[in-house]
Amino acid sequence: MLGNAQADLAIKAESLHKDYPGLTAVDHLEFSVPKGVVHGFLGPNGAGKSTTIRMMCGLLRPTSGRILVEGFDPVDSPFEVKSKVGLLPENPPLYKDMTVMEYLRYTAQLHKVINLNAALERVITQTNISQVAPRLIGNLSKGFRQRVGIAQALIHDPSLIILDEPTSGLDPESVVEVRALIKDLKKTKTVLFSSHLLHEVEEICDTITIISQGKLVAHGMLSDVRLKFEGLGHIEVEVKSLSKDQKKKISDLPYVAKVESVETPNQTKIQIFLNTKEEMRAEIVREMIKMNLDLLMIDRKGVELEGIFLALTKHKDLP
Amino acid sequence: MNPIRVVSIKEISQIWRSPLAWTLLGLFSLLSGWTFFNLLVGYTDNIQSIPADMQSQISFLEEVVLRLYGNINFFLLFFIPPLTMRLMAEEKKQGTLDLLLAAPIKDHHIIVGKFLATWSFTIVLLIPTLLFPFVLFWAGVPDQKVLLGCYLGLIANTACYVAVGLFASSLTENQVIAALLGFFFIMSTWLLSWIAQSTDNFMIGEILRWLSVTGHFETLVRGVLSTADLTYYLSFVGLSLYASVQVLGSRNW
Repeated sequence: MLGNAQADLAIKAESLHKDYPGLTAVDHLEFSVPKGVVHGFLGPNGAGKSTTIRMMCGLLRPTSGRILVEGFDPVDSPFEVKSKVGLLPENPPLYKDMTVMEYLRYTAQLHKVINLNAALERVITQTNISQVAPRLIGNLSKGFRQRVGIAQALIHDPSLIILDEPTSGLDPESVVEVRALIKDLKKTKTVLFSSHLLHEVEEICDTITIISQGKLVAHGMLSDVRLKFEGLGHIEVEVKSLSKDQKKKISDLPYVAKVESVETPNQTKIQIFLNTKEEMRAEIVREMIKMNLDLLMIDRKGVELEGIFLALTKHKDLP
Repeated sequence: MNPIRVVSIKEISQIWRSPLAWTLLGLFSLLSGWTFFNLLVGYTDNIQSIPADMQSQISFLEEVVLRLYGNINFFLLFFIPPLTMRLMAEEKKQGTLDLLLAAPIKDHHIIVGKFLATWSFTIVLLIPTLLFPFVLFWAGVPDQKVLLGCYLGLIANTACYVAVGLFASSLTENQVIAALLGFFFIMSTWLLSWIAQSTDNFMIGEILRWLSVTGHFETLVRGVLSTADLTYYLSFVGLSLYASVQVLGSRNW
């Protein structure tokens, strides 16, 4: 369970609600993030993650409810919140016609950083961008641009870092470096980390929040969420061949959340993600025989975050 | 450092590294110089084509000086929207507005900082035209009061045009639409004066004339500076900037 004491919380959402004309983006969301953890903020596209993050940073006002950041409400105390939060939006806010150094100096001045040169040196070392410091941002690779984006989020030494999809579109080497940086930040800061890469969340995060259609669907320590959904794994099946029609029929089964298949010359490997904890192997075998599929192997795999995510965001009747 | 100064310095540096700014500066100088030359040549031709006793009826001040600065004011209508179009629209389009909004600064710091930076560039735009007063002094027309009024009028007008252009840019994330809106808004301040001239209703005519930038500019170029004009210019700029701050704050709605 998460800590209850208000002082130990970096973020606390209390019945947070945001309506746009004709759309409820965030629906009475309740969750909290303890200090000093890496928190995974998950949800499918349009779930309300970015809206929640914008309300957290004081860029958007909630319709009702509130969100406290380090005990401050961004609506009442925007400056206190902004000085404690470092934000890297999904599209890093970079000026392509500025050099990295000029850009970081500008962001430091916007945040009224007193010891400017020391702050610049700190973030340049932390994000490993010293070799590109004199270069124009527009001429940098995507990996370096992302690192510059992280550097600007760290420039005022905030206690809470919010990273929206920070590894999206990066090459494998940069992904490893960014992940290592996030793990390093955990030593001194709270990190809220939004990602679609579930294995990444499993690797980095201590606690998670999953939202769907603006509503909370799961929240807590990663191990607790895993325990809660014990049994909700996926089934691996090997068949001789699988047509598109047959794959669609499997996807349409009521207890199936998602089907993925990989074809090899001699066989097709199918991953069937379930939205139930029930033992469904016998049922699946029966359905496959009905479809005239040549079954070679069937196995049940343990619970993974991806399975939980798919089940929770596609079906609401789960615990 | 004051946040307005931080935003201003960054904007000034961005304006000067943009090829558009240098192109506009070059074109504006060329166009103003060409106009000055043509007005001088036209005046000389006119003077030479009429009898000597009638020459005193053609005023150099009216035919050259006031027409020159009237034309320069007209050119600004086309040169300022391309400068203001990117101010807010580009920040929105590129997502860099989030950088400003996530910083502990107020919305009016962003708007005023951008306004001051762009206004200062438009004043620089006028610097090459300072050559004309030197030529006029040399030609024996040292009406310092009128020339000072002309420059004061131009500087005040550019403040209004930049403020209204910035407002246009805050309404959209499309720079072309921002430029067209800016042009339309600046043009509207001129249209008021034209409507005022065509109406028979004295009261409406006076109100429209007072609302129009042109009316106040005409007073200034004649070397008359009144508190009414000063109030007008300050109100115009203040209201336009206030409207831009309100548009920026509307993200919370």
